Amino acid sequence: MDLKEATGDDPEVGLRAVRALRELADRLERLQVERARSLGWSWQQVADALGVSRQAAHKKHGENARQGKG
Amino acid sequence: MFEKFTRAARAVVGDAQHEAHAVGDGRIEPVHVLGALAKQERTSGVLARHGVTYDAVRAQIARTGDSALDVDALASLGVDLEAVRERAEATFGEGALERARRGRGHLRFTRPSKAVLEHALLVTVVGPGREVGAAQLLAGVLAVDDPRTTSVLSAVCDDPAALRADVMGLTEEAG
Repeated sequence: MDLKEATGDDPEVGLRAVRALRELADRLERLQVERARSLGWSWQQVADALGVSRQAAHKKHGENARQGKG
Repeated sequence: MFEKFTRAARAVVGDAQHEAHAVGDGRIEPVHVLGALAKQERTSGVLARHGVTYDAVRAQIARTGDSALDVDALASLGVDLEAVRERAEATFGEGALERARRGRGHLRFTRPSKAVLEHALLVTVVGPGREVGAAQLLAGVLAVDDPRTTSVLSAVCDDPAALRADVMGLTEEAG
């Protein structure tokens, strides 16, 4: 699909763009959290920066962080 | 639930996870079960007869997956993926965006995938077999309404209705 030729108000195009943006944001979040943790940030600091609860940040990223170290 | 699965059906469930991992998908969807079934002895024949070969399915799974960052879609918003990539790699090292995708560790089944397993059980209960086999799983994949499965199937299979009918026949054979 050539998105430049697709109409700007086509939900198909818009939704696909939202999905791509979310995927990109998720990956950047993972990279940033991993780096912050390796620089010694606490889960509370990470959570505050992301605007989520400490539990939510730990639940989402704790496992990956442990895998990264293991 | 899995105690009622044949060895082949258990292998399919395990392979589905591999299929998801292989393309970087973060969860096990019905299409990954379909990919695993296209490799399974009991079901590969009927699938291939309708154009659903393993290679064809695999290519479609990769094309419809969430692993590839959609350059065109991002560009439609004015986001230059190459510029983002350049900056991410400057901070996090080469290949950072690929490294950060989901699909590490144990993957969960999506709700439609669970519906596939449930439908397979249902087909087994009304059929002659006592166990859920690969054919019943395939019937489950074809029965569940899942947009990605529909999109993958319509790309490789000329006549999904005919495939469905053949698979129905397969599930009515015991074993």
